[in-house]
Amino acid sequence: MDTSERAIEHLYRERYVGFRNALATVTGSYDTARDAVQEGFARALAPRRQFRGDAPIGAWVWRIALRAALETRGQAELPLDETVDPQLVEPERNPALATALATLSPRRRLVVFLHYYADFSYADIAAACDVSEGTVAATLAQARAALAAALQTEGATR
Amino acid sequence: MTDLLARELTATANPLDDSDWLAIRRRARRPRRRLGLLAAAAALALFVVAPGFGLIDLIEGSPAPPAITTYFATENAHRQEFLAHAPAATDAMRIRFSPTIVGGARGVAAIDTADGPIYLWAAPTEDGGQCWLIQAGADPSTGRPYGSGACDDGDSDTPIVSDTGWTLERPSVEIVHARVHDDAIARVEVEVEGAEPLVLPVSSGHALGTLSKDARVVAYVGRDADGNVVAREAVGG
Repeated sequence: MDTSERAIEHLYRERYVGFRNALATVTGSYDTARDAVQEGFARALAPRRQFRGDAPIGAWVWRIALRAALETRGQAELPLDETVDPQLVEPERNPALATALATLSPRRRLVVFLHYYADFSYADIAAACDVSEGTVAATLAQARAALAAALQTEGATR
Repeated sequence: MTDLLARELTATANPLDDSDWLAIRRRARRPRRRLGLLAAAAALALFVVAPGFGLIDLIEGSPAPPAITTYFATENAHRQEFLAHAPAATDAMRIRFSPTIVGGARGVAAIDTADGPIYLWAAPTEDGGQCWLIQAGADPSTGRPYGSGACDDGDSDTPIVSDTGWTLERPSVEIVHARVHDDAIARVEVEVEGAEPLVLPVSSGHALGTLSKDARVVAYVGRDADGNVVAREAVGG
């Protein structure tokens, strides 16, 4: 087992649940997300695909898994911005949060889910979403403010 | 502010750890296009045997995730507690309730339905039998599997022991399960009144599928790899 494979295995064992939960916001269900995560990590292990170390490994595998998920919907060739519209998987468990999240743009929602579900760092998110870390920081700050306001408003009206 | 968002989101996260690294190693050695093939297979299965039957994952042999091994371990404890308080238990009962080898729990089959997936997990027992769980969902907060399970001693004069069931988690389908005790049986055909038979592959002594809830099973037919009838178990009179 080479260094790259060990790193991928370590990533999987440490972060599988977070990957699946974050990807479920894109696929709409935990089951389809599980299959896409499995496929993504399997593709990452494939001999023809070598991790070159020019991006965080978590972001690299995330993009592979996301592509695998989009393939099942026939959308793999479209730009991510046009295809990824992440949503809370079980909105009925927290309608106020679901409503608050709906006020964010899809890109902001993805940043939020990657940060809080997949435990991605700013650098991970920047590489995964192909934006700068500054953009990630600003997006998260804006998302937090918007969500806090929405949730506090919701709380005040309960 | 950050804590509020973190708390709200964490509460919605699914804690179930159904990871399976060995399955990834196996998948990595296979040709690509698996997801596409699965989608095509599922679509074909939906077309051929409505309302829904599709192999969604080749989990046979995959080690069971922690939630499943915990289930088998918990069942072990319950059975041993029962036997401890049942001095009149026969040897047959003790063999049937022999402890499960939890580390041997493996995936046997997984099928897709309109309501979500159904998994079949099995584990050997210390006395050569087998316990299994047909999982139709999981507690979203604890990951504890929902479903039904049973054990046997691995030996039976009846080649095919069948049962059907319905669950709240997968309400629109009837789950069909056959425990196959004859190694010659490669597939089980479920004969249904007024419809084409449902053909189920046998894996580790089990066949699993679904039917529409109004389907009436007439018989279970076990066929060998060449299609010869090995056993036939009629249902009802």
